[in-house]
Amino acid sequence: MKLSRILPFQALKGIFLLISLFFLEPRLWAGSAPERQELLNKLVEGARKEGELVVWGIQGMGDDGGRPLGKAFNARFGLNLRFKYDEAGATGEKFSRAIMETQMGLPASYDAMYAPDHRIVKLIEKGGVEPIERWELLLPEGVDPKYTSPPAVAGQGFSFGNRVKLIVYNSKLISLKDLPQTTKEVGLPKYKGKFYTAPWTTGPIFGVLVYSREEWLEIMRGWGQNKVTTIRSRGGVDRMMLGEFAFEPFSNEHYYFELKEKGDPAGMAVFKDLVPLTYLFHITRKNARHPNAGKLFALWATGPEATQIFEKYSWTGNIATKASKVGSGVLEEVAKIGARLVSWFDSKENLSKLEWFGTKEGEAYEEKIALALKVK
Amino acid sequence: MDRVETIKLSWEETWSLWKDRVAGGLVLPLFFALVACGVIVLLLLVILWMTFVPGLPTEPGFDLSNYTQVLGDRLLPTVGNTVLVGFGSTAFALFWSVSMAWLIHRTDMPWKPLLMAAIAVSVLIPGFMKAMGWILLLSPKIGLINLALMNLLGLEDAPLGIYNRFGIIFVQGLMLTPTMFFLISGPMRSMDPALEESSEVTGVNKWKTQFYVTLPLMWPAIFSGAIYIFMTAVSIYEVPALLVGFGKYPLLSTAIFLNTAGTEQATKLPQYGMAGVYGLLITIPSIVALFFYLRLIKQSHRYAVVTGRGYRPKLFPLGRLKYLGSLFVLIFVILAVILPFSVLLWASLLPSLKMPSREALSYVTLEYYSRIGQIVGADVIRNTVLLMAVAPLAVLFLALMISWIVVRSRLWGRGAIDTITMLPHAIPGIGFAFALVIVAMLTARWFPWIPLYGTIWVIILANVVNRLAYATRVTNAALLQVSQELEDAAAICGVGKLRAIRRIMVPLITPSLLFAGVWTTMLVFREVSMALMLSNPGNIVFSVHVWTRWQSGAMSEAAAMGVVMVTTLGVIFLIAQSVFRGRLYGIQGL
Repeated sequence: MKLSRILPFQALKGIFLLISLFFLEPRLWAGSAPERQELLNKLVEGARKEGELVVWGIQGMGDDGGRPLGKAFNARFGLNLRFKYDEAGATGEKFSRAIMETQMGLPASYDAMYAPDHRIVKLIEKGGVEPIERWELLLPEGVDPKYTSPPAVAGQGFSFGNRVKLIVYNSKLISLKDLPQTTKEVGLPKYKGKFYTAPWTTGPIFGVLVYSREEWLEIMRGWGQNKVTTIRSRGGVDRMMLGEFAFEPFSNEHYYFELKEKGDPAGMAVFKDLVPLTYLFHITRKNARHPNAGKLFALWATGPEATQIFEKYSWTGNIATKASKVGSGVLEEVAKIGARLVSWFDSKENLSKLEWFGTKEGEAYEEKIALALKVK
Repeated sequence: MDRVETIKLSWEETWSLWKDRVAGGLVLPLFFALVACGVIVLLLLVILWMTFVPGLPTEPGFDLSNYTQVLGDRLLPTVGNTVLVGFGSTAFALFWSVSMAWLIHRTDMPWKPLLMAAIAVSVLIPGFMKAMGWILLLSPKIGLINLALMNLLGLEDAPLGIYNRFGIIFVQGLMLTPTMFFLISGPMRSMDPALEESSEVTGVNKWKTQFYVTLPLMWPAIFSGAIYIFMTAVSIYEVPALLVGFGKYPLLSTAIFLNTAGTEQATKLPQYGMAGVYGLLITIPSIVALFFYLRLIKQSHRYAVVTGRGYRPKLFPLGRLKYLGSLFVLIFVILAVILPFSVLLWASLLPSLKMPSREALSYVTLEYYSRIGQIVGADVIRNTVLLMAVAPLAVLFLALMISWIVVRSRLWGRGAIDTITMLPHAIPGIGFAFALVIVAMLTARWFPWIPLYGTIWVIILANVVNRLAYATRVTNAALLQVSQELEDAAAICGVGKLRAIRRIMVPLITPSLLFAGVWTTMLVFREVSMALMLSNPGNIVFSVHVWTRWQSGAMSEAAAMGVVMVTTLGVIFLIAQSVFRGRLYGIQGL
């Protein structure tokens, strides 16, 4: 008797899909549900004994965002940890101290830390990150392991969101159609005196992923010649909304959403040739005082429950989940004009370019970019 | 053996000898002065060492790369701009502060307490808010004053500009005037009118007397204050960062910021070594100025105005001009207090900063005030109270000990002690804070039982070291004005030095100490850059909290907190004034 007669075709299709998934989906292949539960229980019980969790997190959350985050985390695992969420201080300073603490063998100031992609590689290299074993099994339901913890940082960094570098503009001063379409166009004479740039290169270094180094440096020189001034983004967007500047070319998407919410005349647009996508990770610190709680938090923060809290209080979007309105909004904008989202983790080649910036040659090149943007 | 026995003293004799030595007035002050200087020198050595370290201090490497990079990094224009901004801001602040201190303390001008309280609270308005306020008023594109002038005069271009070095001088000058005003308030108030009366008796008119007698007597206080103001002016980064940014007019302060907190190269870690080199460059002019200052106070007897002979402070009658004097101070209060405070208030009522308009009025809300209670945790309040209580007391005690050695003793090396005490002010706080991070980390490793790293005590220590320069300027000036003859008289009566300090000197300079205490409390409360660098989850203070909220985009909350802070301290200041009946500013007559 044919099998198709015993089972309807739809059921057969379902069985085939399940079998395929078992072999193709690493989480199913790697371990079973009881194993996941066992590992999770171990972390939860460890965290319960530790009794506290200290996180250095992304700016914008504040105490009013930190409290619900801690509450949701505790509720999710039936814990009652004392949750401290600190967002004070510049990223560079916090990472310097993290490296020094590691090198001096001191207990880590934080159990879990937020780490943007250009910082995490160095901290891993210096041994400041505690890896999580069998992490694929422990991720929240529906989270893609390949995206959340890409190969270069696998098991060490867990992405909970992104920042997308795009144009934020004052819609009262310039219309969408009058904005530059590509990064090259920012250097055109018609944009002279219309925009400001930030004094750091987080966005501009992405240019080498699309252009040759010389070509990109030339584009940056064009920006440097046309800009009104070089100021910090926070002061810049405030002045932009007051009517002093028309746009900031490599701003962050969260400014747009934040300004829009406050009723400011803000607009958002992307360049056709280059839309830098940065990953925001959480890591667990080596020598953390509460390592189990730190690991549990880093893993949990990748899920939709945490995404919504991050988005609500700090406008931090996550393009990997539809639960993120900010992420979906940016993707929509990108798709509308067929632009390119590029990240350091797209390919090995891209990652090697990020690593190249750590060499003497790379440092010198980055300094040239900084100088090109700064010089009036 | 016999010899040993002959010099063996009984416990009572030893105590008596020790008491005599302590009563000699130097052992105790010298001990504390040396401890303070030891800590400062240690931190300076860490900074100096860092200038030779290319990466982090925990990593190998020792070379001159930081120096070569700084020398190649547009150094000349950077130094030139810094010197211009430093001198310009100091001159601007001197003009206002000396004039206002004279008007308020030496004349019969009306409304003094209110105007003084207004000057005092202006220091609490954050620098970035003051800069934003002036952008709203003087920006060539959106500035209300410029727009009004263009409409009025039919101009096409804005007549006034703020995005240049003179804009920085203007805003920083206004910001620094209150500090200078209070630095010279004590000496100005304690001026012995007998000297002026003698001048008048010889036929010199009142105005010439003020110029040729009063002003020269104030010279040490003005000079030491000017050095302090210069050092502060060249270290401020938030005003130039907002007004001219980082490219057009490079300054040493913005270069330090770019190499530390705001690392311009994304993939690089902060370059503390380079920041240290820039810090050393800032120190050079300060040390030159200090040299002249120390030469000046060598002739301290020439400036002693509080002597054993009694005097009664006398006010200079302005006659019909007294309201003009009040108007002069009021203009400053409008420029430096009312306008920036209005911006702070305006910002606290809106979701984001907007130009005043009918549309903007529709957004006005008190929501951000109601949220203050929720967003400031108990930890933050506890840390802030501890900082405000302990740091000023420690600063005052150490300042008095140091000034005693510097001004009252003839000890070899006292000039070095004064110079060392001033150095923390010459080097940007962020450099000291980083040095403290390293020292605290080493302490945590070698002496883990000392609660320094990551605690509120490390922030307290940073503030004590950093504020000593200011407090010693006040105590030096106060001691300089009390004549040696008072101590000599006490000695003739058989009173030991220590007792003389306690019973004669301290009461005489109590108003100056009170003022230094109040002022240090306010400066410590406001300080953010060091506290930010040293911050850990367990030691967050109010200023760090406000700064972080502003950086996170919550300007309205930060502004609401600022308004509450300024109003509360303004009221406290007014109450303190009435309780102390004006004794906050200077030495009272005998």
